[in-house]
Amino acid sequence: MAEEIRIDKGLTKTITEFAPHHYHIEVEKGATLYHYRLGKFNPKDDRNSELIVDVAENAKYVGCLVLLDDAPANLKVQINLKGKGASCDSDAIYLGSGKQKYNLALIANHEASDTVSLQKAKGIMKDASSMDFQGLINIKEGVAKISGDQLHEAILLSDTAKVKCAPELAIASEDVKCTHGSSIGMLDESALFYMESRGISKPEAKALLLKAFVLEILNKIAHEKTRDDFTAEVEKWLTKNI
Amino acid sequence: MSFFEIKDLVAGTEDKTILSGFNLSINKGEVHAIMGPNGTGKSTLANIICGNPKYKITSGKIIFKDKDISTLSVDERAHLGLFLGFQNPVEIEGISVITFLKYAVNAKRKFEGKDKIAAPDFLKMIKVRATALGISDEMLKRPLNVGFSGGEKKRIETLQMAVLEPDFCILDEMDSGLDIDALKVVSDGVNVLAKDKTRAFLLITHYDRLLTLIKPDFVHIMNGGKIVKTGDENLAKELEAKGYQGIING
Repeated sequence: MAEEIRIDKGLTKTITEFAPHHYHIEVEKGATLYHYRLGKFNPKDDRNSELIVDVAENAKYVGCLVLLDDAPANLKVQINLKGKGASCDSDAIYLGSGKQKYNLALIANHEASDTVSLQKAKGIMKDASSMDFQGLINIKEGVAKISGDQLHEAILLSDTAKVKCAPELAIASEDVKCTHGSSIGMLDESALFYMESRGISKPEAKALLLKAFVLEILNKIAHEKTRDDFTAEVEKWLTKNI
Repeated sequence: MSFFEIKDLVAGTEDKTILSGFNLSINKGEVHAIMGPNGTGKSTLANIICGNPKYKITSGKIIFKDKDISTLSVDERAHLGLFLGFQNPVEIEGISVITFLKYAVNAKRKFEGKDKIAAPDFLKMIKVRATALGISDEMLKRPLNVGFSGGEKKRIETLQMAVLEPDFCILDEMDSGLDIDALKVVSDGVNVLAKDKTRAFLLITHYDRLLTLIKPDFVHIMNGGKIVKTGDENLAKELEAKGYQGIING
């Protein structure tokens, strides 16, 4: 059963949690929700998470989801921009090792005019871990002045790690500005050489590059304690895995 | 034995030999310049000396401070005192110039058995050198080289050199993308380090202009993966007048 959460009209609220569950969230007119989630689970927990957010007129949803192995396997983040002027800025970081398997879907439904969606996902996968990523920007017929951006980037640290990406745009309106992109690759060898040429060891250079890769998203977390906690968890993962 | 020496070096990529029997000898306190047509292997040479894994050495030796460095890792070569000022420094999103400098300084200190540098000492050390190179605090906080102009990138390369104080500096086309004023600032930065004659420099350039600002002791013309002519600074002037083909064929 999905938990119901409502952010009342005009309010600004921050929710930080360390185990993503099923949610249905309503962000009412003019309200803002900062929603930070770090996936850390007991093995017996439900390993699925579905988040559906309805964003009303001039309301905003800002989300950051961080997945660190042991995270739920199947995740969906669906943002419904229902009212005029609604917006979302929804990010995800996924880090996988061993045989960790993820399915992640990021969906932005533009159901009203003057709506803006920003979605960014970044992943680092090693060993035989895998990610099946789906991205969708869906724009309903008859709405106007829409801006939708979705970007997915992944770095593979082994030959056996896999990332499958299916970015999709479904546009039934004309007054739309949309971008989407995806890149999957290995660590930049020329950047590694540059750093090593300054005396930084290869493992340290790798860790620094990977940290920089995800910091771009972590640094956006507005709540300081959450930002520090999440960054520390990500650093712990990098130290253990690089 | 020379401070730095390359002996009969044959090297290149997996499928192409680029350096074919390259020899060079440099003493402490000397400034050498290598000039040559595009595609003759100048940048490859710089990358091979510093250990870029893109290139393979087939035969020959690279001796620095009495040690064959050709099997050392890139960072080990740096700790020995080797520095490459890149022609096109990479852009790294997410790491600021100042953070990168701190990592580099602390890596050097770790190698020397010293503790990490204290924050006030580090800032003081950077501030003095950055000011001399016309680098603002704002620029130090920006992601490394991201969106920097050619001149800004070369200033940051020179700042890294000034901070790390290497013993042998290879500067690959440090004059490319620079206007006269920026070239003067960067050349002054090099001349400060060259002044006490405890280091050696290898400048890779296409133009005489740089060599009027940093006076070389030797000028080498490179063609087909090896040095074909060596002279003093007048050779660079002769080159300006005659062109590469005039020198190489004449």
